[in-house]
Amino acid sequence: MNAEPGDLADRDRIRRAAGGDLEAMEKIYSDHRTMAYAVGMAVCGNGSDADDVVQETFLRAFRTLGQWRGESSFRSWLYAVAFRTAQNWKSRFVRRPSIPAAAVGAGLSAPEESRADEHALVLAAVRELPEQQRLTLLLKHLRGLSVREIAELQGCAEGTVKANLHHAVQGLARRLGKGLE
Amino acid sequence: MSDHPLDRLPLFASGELPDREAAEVGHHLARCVACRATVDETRAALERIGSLPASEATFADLLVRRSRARDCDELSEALTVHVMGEPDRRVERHAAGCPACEERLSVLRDVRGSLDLLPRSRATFEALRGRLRPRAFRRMASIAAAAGLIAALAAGGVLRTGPQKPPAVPAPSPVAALLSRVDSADDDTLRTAARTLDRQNVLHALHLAEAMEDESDSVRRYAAVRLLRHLETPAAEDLLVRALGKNAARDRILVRALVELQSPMVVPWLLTRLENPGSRTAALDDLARIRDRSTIAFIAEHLPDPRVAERLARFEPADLIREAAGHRNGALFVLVPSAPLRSSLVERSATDAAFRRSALAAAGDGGATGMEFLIRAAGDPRLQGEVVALLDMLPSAEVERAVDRALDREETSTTAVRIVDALRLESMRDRLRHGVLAGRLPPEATLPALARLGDLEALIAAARMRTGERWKKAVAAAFEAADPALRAEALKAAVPGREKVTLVRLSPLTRPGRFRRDTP
Repeated sequence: MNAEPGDLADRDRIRRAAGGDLEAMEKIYSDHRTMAYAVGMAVCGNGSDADDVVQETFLRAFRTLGQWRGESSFRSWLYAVAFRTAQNWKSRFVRRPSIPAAAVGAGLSAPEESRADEHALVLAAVRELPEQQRLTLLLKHLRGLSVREIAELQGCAEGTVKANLHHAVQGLARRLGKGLE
Repeated sequence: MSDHPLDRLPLFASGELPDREAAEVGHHLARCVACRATVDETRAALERIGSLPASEATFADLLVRRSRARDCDELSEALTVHVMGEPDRRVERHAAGCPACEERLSVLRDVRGSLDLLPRSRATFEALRGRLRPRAFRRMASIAAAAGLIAALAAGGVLRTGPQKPPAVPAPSPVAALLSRVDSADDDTLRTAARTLDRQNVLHALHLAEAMEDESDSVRRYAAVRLLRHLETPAAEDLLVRALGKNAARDRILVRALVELQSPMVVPWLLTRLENPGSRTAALDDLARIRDRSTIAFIAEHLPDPRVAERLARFEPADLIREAAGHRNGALFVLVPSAPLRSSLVERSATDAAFRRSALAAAGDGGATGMEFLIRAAGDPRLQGEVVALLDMLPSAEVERAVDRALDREETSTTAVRIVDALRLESMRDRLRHGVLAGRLPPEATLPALARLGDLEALIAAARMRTGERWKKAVAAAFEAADPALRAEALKAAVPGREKVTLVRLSPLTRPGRFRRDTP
């Protein structure tokens, strides 16, 4: 069994959540919410759909907690649930952003407009990265997982995670015109 | 062979080996013909090199420079990981003495700062709580779900199995009753209930459609969508279609419901909406979600509009190929991100000159998706010259972005390397080097491209890291392709030792020699 260290308490919490204990569910939710959000952002490409993915992920996870048999870590299991949920959500509900780039920040004051432009630019640059690079980058940046933890989630070598992270940041720098050679 | 002092032979040949080691090597040479021959060849090569202009750099300078450059290469990924939150002492030590890496760190930190602008999650457990049920309740509910739903339907008068007394208190409507339970029911139960509901009173479909659009209650919306997906009978669709146009405020709701049902019955209505620029975008989107093949031609009429090509990509490739063949906007189908369609259009471009002109022009004006078509077309030898010439005229940043993406995909990576080679895209040099050394890019195309871009260090690294016949041939061919002056420069700047042995083996200056003898 590969559960995270310390995990008698976690296992107990998961068991209680599977029994319908809302307090245990809330703790699990707060521990893993950002990971599900990072997956949602990487797959759907925007914060609002990513928030929906978070809710759907936990709804599905709490209903199927009995299916987690402890053979993999709980986080890996939840990651798989989040990834499948995000892909379903994307195929059913996500539409391409319909706001033209020129309209971003319309009606705002100059500093607000510039800030809105920058937000949109960063989001667009992240969206243009290949999916695997996006996932790695967002799990690292939004959730702060280590390279080893991300490799465990994605079932790949640490070197692959480092390479993906490296290419993601390089690609981002290029797209944002930060001048990294 | 492990007894041969191969690493020390070049230093011995150039007289740079300390006395004690020189004596050991001399002792070995006295009884080893092969090593003597290597020393002779190396001396001959060094004499030829000696006739080139002398470098001002000392040996120590070269050693430090080369060692630092090697560290920079090896630490490039570690720099990123360091900045992204996993501090690494090696990086700190190296960057302290390397201005280039210090500068890179500063840029990476800047990029990381930009990531802070990404939106953060606003989801809360409180919002989820209402959708969760205690397990015991759920277990009970799942057992009794069917019975409960049927009872609710009966209470609402939906199931009329015989004469009944009117209820003493107003019962909740069947739809309301269904919606209140739908969150805990399984799909089979829902399907059964939805069919019964539909058969008895299709008007409920309309109520479901309204519930689906209720912004104030996400649970009700979710439940309505789930129920609506089980309404598959033509009667419900017919009702919803007939309601269209009678109440403008409801039209959008009805269309959403019909689209959710994937109903072709709403297609004629949507086609009329295409004529109005105000409703066109939503209509195109809905048509693409229904994916009725008869609508491809109508949607393609709007291919010049933004994002229409992406919507078309939802259709079956075979239908798209058939439609593109006879459509007046046929050339604009190059913008549709569908691999089978692109292959078909590349083939047509190769055989039909008139179509080729318009297709390449459309792709050239088509931004990122057009660029993807051009890269695929460049992989066809019949189109390669024309496409590369066109790419050369397009904005280089756009081309580089497309090539960057193409390098990531196995099916286009070789073509992308050839484009980098043909257009001499200097900015792609690192991508090629990392790709080929990691085995992601084919050495036969990539190493000569790197050589022509002046990156002989990549060849040295490849010769060291890869020893198979395929790699030997690719490295030797690439070395031949390099500029002779650069070759000589590299040979001169190489650190004595294994690096020099590698270069001496590869350099045409030293042939015939050891390399030729080793080659069958």
